[in-house]
Amino acid sequence: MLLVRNPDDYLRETKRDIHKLPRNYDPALHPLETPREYTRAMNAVKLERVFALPFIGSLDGHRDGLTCLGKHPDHLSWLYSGACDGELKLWDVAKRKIVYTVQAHDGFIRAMAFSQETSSLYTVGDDKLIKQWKAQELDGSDLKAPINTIVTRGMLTGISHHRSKPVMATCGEACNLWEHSRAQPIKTFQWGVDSLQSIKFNQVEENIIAACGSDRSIILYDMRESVPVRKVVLKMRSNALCWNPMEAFIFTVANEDYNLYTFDMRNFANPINVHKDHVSAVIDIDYSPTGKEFVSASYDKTIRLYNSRQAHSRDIYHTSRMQRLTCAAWSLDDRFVYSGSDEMNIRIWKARAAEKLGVVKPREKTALRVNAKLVEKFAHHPAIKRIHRHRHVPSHVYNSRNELRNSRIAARRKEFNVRTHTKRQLPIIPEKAKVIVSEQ
Amino acid sequence: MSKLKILQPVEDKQEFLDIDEAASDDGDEQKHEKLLNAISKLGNKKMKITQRTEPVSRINEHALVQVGSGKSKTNKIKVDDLLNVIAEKPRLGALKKAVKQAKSKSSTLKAPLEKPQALRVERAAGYEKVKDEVSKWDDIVKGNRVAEQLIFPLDQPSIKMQSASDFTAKFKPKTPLEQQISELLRCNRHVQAENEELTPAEKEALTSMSLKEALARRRELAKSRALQSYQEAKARRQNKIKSKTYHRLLKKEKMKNHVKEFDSLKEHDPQRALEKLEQLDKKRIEERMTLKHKGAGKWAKLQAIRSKYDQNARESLADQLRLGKEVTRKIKKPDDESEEDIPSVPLEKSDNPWLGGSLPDSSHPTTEVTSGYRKLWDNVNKGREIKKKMNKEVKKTASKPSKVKQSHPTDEKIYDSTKVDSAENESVASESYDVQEEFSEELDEGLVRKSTMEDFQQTPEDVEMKQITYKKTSKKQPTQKIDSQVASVQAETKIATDIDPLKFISMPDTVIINSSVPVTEEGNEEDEDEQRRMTLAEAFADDDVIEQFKEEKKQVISASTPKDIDLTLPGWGEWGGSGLKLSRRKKRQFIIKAPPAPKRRDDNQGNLIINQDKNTNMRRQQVNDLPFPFRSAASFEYKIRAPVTSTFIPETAVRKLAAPKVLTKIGTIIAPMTDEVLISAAKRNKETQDKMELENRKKPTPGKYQKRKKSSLITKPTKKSKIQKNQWQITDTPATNSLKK
Repeated sequence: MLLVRNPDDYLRETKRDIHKLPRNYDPALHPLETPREYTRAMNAVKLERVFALPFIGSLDGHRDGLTCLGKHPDHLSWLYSGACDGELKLWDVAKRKIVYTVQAHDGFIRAMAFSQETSSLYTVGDDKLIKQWKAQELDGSDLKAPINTIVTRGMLTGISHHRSKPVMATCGEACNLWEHSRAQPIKTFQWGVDSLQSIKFNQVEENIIAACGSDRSIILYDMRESVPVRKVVLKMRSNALCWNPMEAFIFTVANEDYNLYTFDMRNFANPINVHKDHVSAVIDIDYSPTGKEFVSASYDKTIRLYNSRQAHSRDIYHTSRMQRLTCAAWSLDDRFVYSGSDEMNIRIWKARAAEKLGVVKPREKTALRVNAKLVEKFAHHPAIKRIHRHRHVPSHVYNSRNELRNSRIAARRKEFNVRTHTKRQLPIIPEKAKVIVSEQ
Repeated sequence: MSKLKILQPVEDKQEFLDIDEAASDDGDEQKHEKLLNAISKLGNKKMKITQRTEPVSRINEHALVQVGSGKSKTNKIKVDDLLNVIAEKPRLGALKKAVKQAKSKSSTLKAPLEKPQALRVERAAGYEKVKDEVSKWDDIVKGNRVAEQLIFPLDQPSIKMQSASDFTAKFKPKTPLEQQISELLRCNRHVQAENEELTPAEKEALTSMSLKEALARRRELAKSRALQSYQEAKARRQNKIKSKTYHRLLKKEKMKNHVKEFDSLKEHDPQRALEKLEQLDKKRIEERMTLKHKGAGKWAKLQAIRSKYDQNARESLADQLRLGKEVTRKIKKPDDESEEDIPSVPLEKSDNPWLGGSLPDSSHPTTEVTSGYRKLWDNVNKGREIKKKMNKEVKKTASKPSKVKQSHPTDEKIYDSTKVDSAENESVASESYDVQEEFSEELDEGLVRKSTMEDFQQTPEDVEMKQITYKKTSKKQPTQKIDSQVASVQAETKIATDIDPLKFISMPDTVIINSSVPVTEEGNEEDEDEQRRMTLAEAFADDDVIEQFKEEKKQVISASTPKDIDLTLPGWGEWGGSGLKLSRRKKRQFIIKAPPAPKRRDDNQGNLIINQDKNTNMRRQQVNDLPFPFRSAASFEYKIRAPVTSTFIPETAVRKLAAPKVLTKIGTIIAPMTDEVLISAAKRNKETQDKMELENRKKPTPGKYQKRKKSSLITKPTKKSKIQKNQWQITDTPATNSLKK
C-alpha cells in the first residue's frame, strides 16, 4: 500500500476557487443514501411548489375581448393581438407596453398569420377582407396602413401562411389558397357545404394543410392536389388545431368535448392520445417550439399545460380575474406562455411555473437540476407525488371536475351492467376509438 | 365570360350548318334556286371566309358534325375506304398494317366513374402519397423522442474536428503518382503499421542475433540432428532383428521400464501415475480389440496344422489361446471388489486406489493392468485358492465375520492389490451369493453398482454421516456397526436389503433387531409402491422442513420481543477487568428493562407464523404499484437505490445524471424543424456507414456476413437509418451529440 499525497487533490488553484473537500464515495460508508435522498427530494418538491409563481404580468389596453394572438417569427418580444372590435395591437412583451394600435378591420379580427420571407402580417376579419401589413419597423409605424387588401366574397374565419412559398390558406365557407400577387384564390377546396373555423399549414412538411370544420370534422389538404385528401369526423366540433413543429405528422385539436386529441395524420382510426382535465370546451391550443409540450386555453377560465405524450395536464394556470379564454400562444424561446381572454387582457405566464427568471449562476443551476432529478426519481412515492401533483383550482373547476368524474363512473357502471345483463356480446370499443365517428 | 368567348366561333359555325340543314329539309325549290344564284354570283368575286381558330380546352361535342349526317348511313366514310386509296402506294403499306392491328385490338373503354366515386379515388390516392411523404420523418421523430438530451435549436452547426487519421482512412490514391507512392509506402519495411509500436525493420533488428550466438545455435542444431539420425538408424537396425528371444527380452525390458516408471510416478506424482495407469489400461483394451490372440492369424493356423505332431507348436498355441482368454476377460472395478472390506476406510479406497493398504511390492499393481499376463494369471490363481479357503472358513465361523477379517489381513491386501475379477469370484463363490447379487441389482438401480450386502449397508450410513443436524442417529451408528459385525452373514444381508428409508432417521436399531427373514424371500416382498415411496423418501431425506420452520419461528419471536438495553460502561465507577460481575446498583441504574413481550397471536399455533409488525404508517409512504416504464420491481428498486446527489457520487457523475432532457438557450428562437435536419441526418448516416466500412476493413474475419449486411443496408435505406439510430442510443458518439445540438 502506497500513501500518495498529491497537492492537486486538496489545494485549490486560485484563491477564488472553492475549497476542495476530499470525499469517500464508498457506498459502505453511506448506508442511508436512499433515505437521505428521499428527504432531499421531499424538500425539493416542496420548494418547487413554494416557488411556483407562474403569473408574470398582464398586457391590458384592448377595449374588447381578444380573438387572436400572433408571435412574430423573428422577434421574441413582439406580440400582435387582435380584438373583437377590430383593433390590432403590437406589444413589446419585455416592456409590457403597447407599441402600436391600429383599427384593422370592421368587426372581429378572426385570425392572423406571418410570412417570414416578406416579414409581413396577414389578418382576416369579419369584414371579409384579407389585409397584409408590413411587420418590420421597431416602432410599429409600418402598421399605419395595410400594404395590400384583398376583398373576398365569403366569410373568413382563419388564415395560415405557407412556411416558404408565397401562398396562404384561408378558411371560411371553403378552404381557399391565395398567392401574394393575386386578387383571386388560386385554388379552392370544397368538401361538403359546412364552414371551417380553423386552418393551419404544416410547418415541417410544408405543403400539408389541416382544418377544422363545423360539421365536427378535421380535413386534411395537400396544397398540390386538386381535392381535399382526408376527412375524419369526431363526436363533437373541434375549435382549433395545431401542428407539432418538430414532428411532421402529429397535430392536436382542441375539442368542444373538454378534451384535446392528438392525431397521427397517417392513421385517423383513433387518436394517439386523448388529453383530458379541462372541464369546459377547449378553445385554443398552441405547441411549444420544442414540440414536447402544448398549452390549451379553455372556456373554463383556465390554461393547462400538457406534455404532448401524456393524457393529463402537468400544470393549470388561472387567476380570479381571468375570464373565458379565447386564445393562447407559447413563446418561441420555449419559456413563456401568452393567453388572451374575454376580459380584454393578455396574460404572460412562465412555461415552467417554478423556473427562476434572470441570471442563474452555475452552482445554482446545478442545484436546481439535481433537485429536479431528485423529484423525478422519487416521483412515484406517494408523499412526494401528492405534493408534486397538488394544484389549487377554482371552485367551479373543482366542482365540475367531480361532477364529470361522477358522470364518467356512472357511464362506466351502466356499460358494465348492460354488458353483464345482455345475452349478445357487445363489441368492446377502446376509449380512444369512441371519439371517431367516421373517416372518409 | 372567357368561356363564352371561346365558345363563340364554334357556335357560329354550328348555326351556319343548322341553317344549311334546315334549307335542305324544307325543300323550298324557289328559295333554293335563289340561293344558288346568289352563291354563283359570289363565286365570281372569290370571297374569302375568314375563320378564327383559338385553342379550346374542351372540344364541344355538338360542334363535331359527321360529313354525311343528313343522308343515309351508307355514305359514311370508313377507314377502309381511305385505306383503299392508300393501297396503291406501296410506301404506305406499313400504315395499313398498323391500322389493321389497331382494329383487331380495339375494345370499348369503360364508362368513367361517377363523380363522387372518382373524387373518392383521387382523395385516397392523394392521401397515400402524403402518408408516404410524411413517413420520411419517422426516424428523426423517433430518435428525438427517445434522445437522452435534446438541445434546441436543433440545427446547430457541428464543430467536429476531423483528425488526420480520419482523413487518411478515407483517402484512396487516384493519380498514378499517388498510387506509386502508396505502393512504395505499403511495401516499405520502415513504415509503422497501425496499432504497432515498431516497424518491421526495427523488429527484425531487435530479434537478429550476433555471430557468436548464431554459431552456437548452429552447432546445437547439428548435434541434435546427428543424434536423431543415429537413433533412427538404431531403430531400423533393431527392427530388422528376427530373433524371437530377442524380442521377448525386449518386451520384458520394456515392461520392466514401464513398471519402474509407474512406481516412481506413484510416489512422486500420483496424478501422472493415474494417467499412466489409464494409458496402460488403454493398451490392454486395444489388445482386446485386435484378433491377435484369437487363433485366427496366419501363424496360429500354421501352428494348428503343426500341433498334431509338434509338441512345441501345441504348447505355444495353447499359450496363445490362454492369453487371448485372459485379455478378453472383464476386469473388476476397484469399488466392486470390497467383498470383505473393513467398512471403516471405504471412502479413502475409492478415492485413491493405490494409497489404501496396498503392498509395497511393486510388481503387483503393474501386473493387474499391464500385459504381463502370466503374472496376472498366477496371481489370479493364487487369489482363487485363497478365496476357496476363506469361503470354507466363512461357512465354519458364520456367526463371527469380524474374526474372519482379522484372521486374513494379508489376503485382503492381496485382494486389494490384485483386484480379482468378479467373474472369477462368481465362479468360485457359493450359489447363495449369486442369487443375492441378482436380486439386489434388480431392486434399485443407480450409477454405482452394488454387488454385496455391505455396499448396501454402507450407503445409508454415509448419508447419515453427512447429516449434521441429526446427532442422535450419528451417535447410534457405531453401535449399529458393532451389531452388524456381531450378527450372522445372512442377518447382514437382511439389514442391507430391509432398510426402510422412511424410518431410517428415527429408528435404525429396530430394523436390525426385527430382521430375521431369510434372504431369498426379500425380493418377493417388495412392492412397486413401496419402492416409489422409498425413492421419494430418499429424495427428501436431507431437508427437514418442520425443524426449519420451528427455527424460523423462534427467530421471528425473538426478533419481535423487546430486549433490555444495557448502558453500563465497564470499569466506570468500579474495578475493571475480566470476569467481574456487575454491581446491583449499576444494573439497576444503567440497564433499562424491556417491557414484557406482548402476547403473540400465533403463540398456540405451532404451524403458523403471523407477521404482526406490519407498519401501516410506513406502508403509506411506500410505492404500491410498479410505475410505468419499469418492468420489474427489482429494476425499480435498483433505480431508487442508485444515488444521484453529490454527497454520494462524484460531481461529474451528478452533472451527467441531472442533465435536463431539453435544453434551450435564453432568447433564442426555436424554429420548426427543417429539411436540413433530414439531410444532415442522412449525411451522418453516411458517415457512420463509412466508419462501419472502415472497421470492417480492419477486421476481415467476419467479412462475408458484414458485407451482406452492408449490401442490405444499401438497398433498404429506411432499415439502415433505424440501425444507426439504435447506435445513437447505445453509444454516445460525437455524431449523436451533433444531432442533438
